[in-house]
Amino acid sequence: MIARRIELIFKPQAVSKPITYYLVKKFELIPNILQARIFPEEEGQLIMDLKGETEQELQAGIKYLAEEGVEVRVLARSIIHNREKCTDCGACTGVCKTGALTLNRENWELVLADHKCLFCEMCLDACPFQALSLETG
Amino acid sequence: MSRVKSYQEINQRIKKGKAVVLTAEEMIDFVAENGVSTASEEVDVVTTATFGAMCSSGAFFNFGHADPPIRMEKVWLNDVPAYAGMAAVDAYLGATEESVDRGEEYGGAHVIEDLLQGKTVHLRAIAKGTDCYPRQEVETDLTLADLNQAYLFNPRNCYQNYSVAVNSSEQTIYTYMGPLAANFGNASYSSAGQLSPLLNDPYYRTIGIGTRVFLGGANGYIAWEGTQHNPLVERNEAGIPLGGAGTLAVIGDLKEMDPEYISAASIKNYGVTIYIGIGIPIPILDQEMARYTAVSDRDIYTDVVDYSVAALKKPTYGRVNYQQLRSGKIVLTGGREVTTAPLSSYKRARQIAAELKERISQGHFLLEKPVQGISNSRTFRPLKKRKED
Repeated sequence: MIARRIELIFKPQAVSKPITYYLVKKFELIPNILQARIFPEEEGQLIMDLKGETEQELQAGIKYLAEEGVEVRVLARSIIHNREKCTDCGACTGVCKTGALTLNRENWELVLADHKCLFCEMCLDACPFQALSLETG
Repeated sequence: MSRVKSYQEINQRIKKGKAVVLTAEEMIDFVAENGVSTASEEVDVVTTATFGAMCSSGAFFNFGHADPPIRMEKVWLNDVPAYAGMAAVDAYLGATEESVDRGEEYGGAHVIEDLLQGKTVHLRAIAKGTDCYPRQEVETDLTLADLNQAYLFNPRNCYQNYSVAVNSSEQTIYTYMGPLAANFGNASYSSAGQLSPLLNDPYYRTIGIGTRVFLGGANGYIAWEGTQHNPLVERNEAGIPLGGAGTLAVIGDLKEMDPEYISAASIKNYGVTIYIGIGIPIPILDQEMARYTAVSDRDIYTDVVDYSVAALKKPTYGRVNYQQLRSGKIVLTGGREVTTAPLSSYKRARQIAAELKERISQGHFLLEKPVQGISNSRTFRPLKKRKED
């Protein structure tokens, strides 16, 4: 599984299209909608985490959105691990349910496999040194 | 019967660069291969270490006198209050004290860290003014080098074992053991286990008042038994306590310390704390010390405690050892499997044990015999209730 947090901006002509339905049905992606708004000028904004099996599948879905006239901005692509601040305590590994953050049982170093990260942000709260942050934009 | 070594004998060997020094991890394998008797003959010193959150810590400072002088009554360092109820330009900054304006994001621990990293810290002090100390206010910017004295004096460090924290409730709780997810979502543990100093000398035979230790990279000393020192906790047949037991009060010169081994921390919705690196050398005086220092994670047990219960006495969900905790999963009473994560850094603890081993092997660090032992019989009581409660 890989994921991106994306922001979608709909022009009035695209607002009525059931794009999340197609993302699921046609592209077998899993959208998790975090925020949805429609502005007075009938422009819509949707923030979602989009998960897929592979990078290609994810890109196909994003391409489809662009073709439908939806503006796509990638908000989060990975967790940033600040090695300077990190002490390799491993406190983050207990709350990471996807296995993106683990401790190497040989040298007890923290290992970040960012392709496994689904941006739940639990590790940001668990780190005593604020050594983990979300890469945005 | 094997020979008994003295501190003098061991120090002579250290000075000549001939001492055999092993880390507590290496000692486990050495004893497994060669036995306790050979180990007690051949090994001189075993180094132990821990790098973890030690909330009960802080530093004494002397700022020097202003002209005209002030007897500082209230003191802030980067807007973090320090205790100045002493004379006249002394203060004690507690690690967990939070900044007036930034709250848990920045506190006493961060001031200590900033000073160690060579940063400038803003001092503000006020006083009522007296005939001998007429000044009522002073503000200035200081670095560690500007202070007359700056030493850590930590009332409670180096806990001998500690319980594992879980949460049985329906929502995430935020504790000093970190966030604990609902319905036993994760388990948090803290001790360095087989590397931890007091677990390698369970009855404090060699770790006592006056013992020279590695404290934050500098030479420090054990000043006293730590607060809440609790030697009478239940122990297993090998003498290992089954929960938080002995503690140490330590002292050392902040000016000599290394920011690699002292880290400020903010634990969400709990507050500020400080991670301290401590290493303690254990002289292998005889077979008993060889046996103690061969303790492994397998032999050290602790209770799993439910932190969602807001009472002093909390329910437990079984007893696990550190080998299980370090595997990443434990099984609680009733069969529930829970992910485990440490709060203290085993990597840094190892690094400290190796560094201390190096210093001793090179003849740069000699052992100090305690001038007095720490208590094996002190009782740890809860707060006394008022009669009417």
